[in-house]
Amino acid sequence: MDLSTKQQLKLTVLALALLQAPAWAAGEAIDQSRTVSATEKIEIENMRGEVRIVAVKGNKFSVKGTLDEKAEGYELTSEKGVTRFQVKMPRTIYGGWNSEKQEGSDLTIEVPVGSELKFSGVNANVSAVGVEGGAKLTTVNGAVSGEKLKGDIVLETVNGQINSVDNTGRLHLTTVNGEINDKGSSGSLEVESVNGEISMQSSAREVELEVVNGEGQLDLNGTERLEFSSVNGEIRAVLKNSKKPKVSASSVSGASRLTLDADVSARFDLEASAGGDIDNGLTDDKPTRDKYGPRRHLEFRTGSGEGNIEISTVSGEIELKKN
Amino acid sequence: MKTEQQLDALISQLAPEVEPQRDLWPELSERLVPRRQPVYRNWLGVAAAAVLTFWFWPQQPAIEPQLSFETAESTDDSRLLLAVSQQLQQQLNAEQTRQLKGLKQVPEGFTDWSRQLLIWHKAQGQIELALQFQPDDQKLIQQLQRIQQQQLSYIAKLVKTSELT
Repeated sequence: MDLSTKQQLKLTVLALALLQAPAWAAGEAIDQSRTVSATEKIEIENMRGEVRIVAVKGNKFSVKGTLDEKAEGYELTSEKGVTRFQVKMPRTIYGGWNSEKQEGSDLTIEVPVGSELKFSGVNANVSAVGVEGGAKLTTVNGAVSGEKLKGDIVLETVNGQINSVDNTGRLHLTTVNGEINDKGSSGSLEVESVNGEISMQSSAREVELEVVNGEGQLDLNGTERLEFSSVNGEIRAVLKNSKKPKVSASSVSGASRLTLDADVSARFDLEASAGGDIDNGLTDDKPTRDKYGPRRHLEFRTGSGEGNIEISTVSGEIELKKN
Repeated sequence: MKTEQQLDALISQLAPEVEPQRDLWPELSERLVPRRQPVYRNWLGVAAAAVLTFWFWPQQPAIEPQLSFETAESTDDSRLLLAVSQQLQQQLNAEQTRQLKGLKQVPEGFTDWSRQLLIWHKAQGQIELALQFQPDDQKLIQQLQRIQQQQLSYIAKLVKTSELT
């Protein structure tokens, strides 16, 4: 074989390779759909970009938009009630995941209303609307938004905001540094943050909140059981239409401020272990201080004492107010 | 010799309980030094060294650790507290070291991890001080456990995020 033949062969191989290049090359458009079951389990993995997931009537899964410019294709499989869509990325991205925020996929995905949704990303913003079979949306650097979701709902990020609107079921919202905003949720609600600020307007029956340094503003309607804790943070909880609530709260040096209905019926047990303050704006009862120690303590009852309010702090503040 | 009636009369004149003539707490509180210096007072230094030392150690899967308590048979409060604290401390040190071994880089959002640990560290100090006055306060023990659990969870997330990004 002479040199020119070798070159021709190389060119031919190269040309064939180019012809075989997938239509979904990086940054390329995608428009795919599958017929799926009404209660399909949908698993989506997209590392970077923007993903909007919308529940629609009908048994259809579809994905439209453009793939990540660094994607090495995608996988879309649908069998035995499980549909998986994955944007395939190189194992290592030079410059890390934290490069330009505009980079990444831009996708709109439609799923059946009754489907069970699972999304995972890294540098991705994700939103989901109307999914009723449960949803777990997780990312690392990015915002997570869930609206009109039902069932077991997990919205989780590390650095980013969480927005939860009109969700029903068992909600679990978690961030490390971002804000959490919940509005109109019902069912049970569990919220965790290290540094983020939390804002809640909820009618969930059960609410649990845990922050370390963050601040929380809870406007709750009809909540029967409320637990919250902080280390340094300040949590303000306003509880309305709850006549016999069960509240348990604690802080180390943070502030727990609780506002209750004036006609609440509950037993109160408030304790500041080492230098904390108790401010009772609900009744005329005053805290007592241990004779030989720093502890302050206040116990009293309103109405027939059906509910139970236990709040403790080490050196922080406890404040009771009435609506 | 005085009769029994005379002794009873003298006793009845005594105050029902002995009290200090003034509030001693302000002076005492200024002089208070924690009786037991926890090992993790030096944790930040250890953690920083661990991060540097184990920077490139083989990765281990980041799992969400859980602290667990063995049931203490003793009813003695101080022994129970000591047992709980030691158990927590051992688990905390072991888990943090194990988790930090897997760390390749400090990811976005965790660059002030040492400051964050310091916040927990100070909070632990406050709870421990309070426990010295109320050693059988279950709420304080629960707070201590929660804070240590938060640290473990935070480090687990740090490691997991480091792996993902």
